[in-house]
Amino acid sequence: MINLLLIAYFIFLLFFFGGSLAVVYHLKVNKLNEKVSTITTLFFIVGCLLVLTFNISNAIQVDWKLLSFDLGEIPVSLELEDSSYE
Amino acid sequence: MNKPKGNYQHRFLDYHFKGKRDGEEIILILRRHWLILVAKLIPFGFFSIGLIAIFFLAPILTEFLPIVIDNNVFNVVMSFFFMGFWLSLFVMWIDFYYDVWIVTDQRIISIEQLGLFRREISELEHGKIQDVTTEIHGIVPTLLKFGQVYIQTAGEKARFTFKQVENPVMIRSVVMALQKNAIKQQKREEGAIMRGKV
Repeated sequence: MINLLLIAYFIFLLFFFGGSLAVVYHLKVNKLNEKVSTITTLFFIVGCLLVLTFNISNAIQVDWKLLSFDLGEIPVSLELEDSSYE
Repeated sequence: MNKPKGNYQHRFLDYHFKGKRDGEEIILILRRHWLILVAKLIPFGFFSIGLIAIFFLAPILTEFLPIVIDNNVFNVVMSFFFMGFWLSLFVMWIDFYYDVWIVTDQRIISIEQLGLFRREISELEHGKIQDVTTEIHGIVPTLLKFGQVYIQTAGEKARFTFKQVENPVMIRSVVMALQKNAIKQQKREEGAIMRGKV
């Protein structure tokens, strides 16, 4: 059973975490002003947590089994009727 | 060293940057005009309005569609759009906020942030400044007093440009005053060497 949508979901989530880390890194490491940097970082993190909560709370309710498919169920014909090797 | 007079120095006491020398004082921190950020944010504003409209109108619209869309799947997809929107907003902010020109009492530092993973830093000692030119081009920049400041140098980087900065005329006068001070200082030092004091 392969659940491509679930894999895609985790890849998107991974990109989001990576992007968020890069943003926080820039806000903290290249800071010019401590106050501005702290406020912006906190604002960004709060926003991230809000959208992440909304995302995860909805993802939990999704019936991922319905969205999966079995590769074994795909009919594959191996009969080479018009093969020139016959 | 004599510094140009002004009431701006106290504004930057809380500001620090990597490689700041001991006793170095920040005189100006320059960024692009706020209108440039607003102009970049306008498409984002439309996009966010579109996202919110889709989010709230979707239950009504799906009634007219021939296919059934699971509400939770729809919400997950929408939340990814919101996540992307939030990230892009801050990437834009970083691009604006960290694209900065710092004028100190010793040198000019140009920091150009190009996206998240490209950053160019160059610096110029005041003594190497040859000429400063300002350019205000267009109706909106004339009304809001923003434009370019070109600093011709004798250094490695031939020309420094402060792009779309507020009040370029004031900046030019500050930079010119700093350059004059630096040249006076250089001459004083040279004179001291000639007299054998150093």
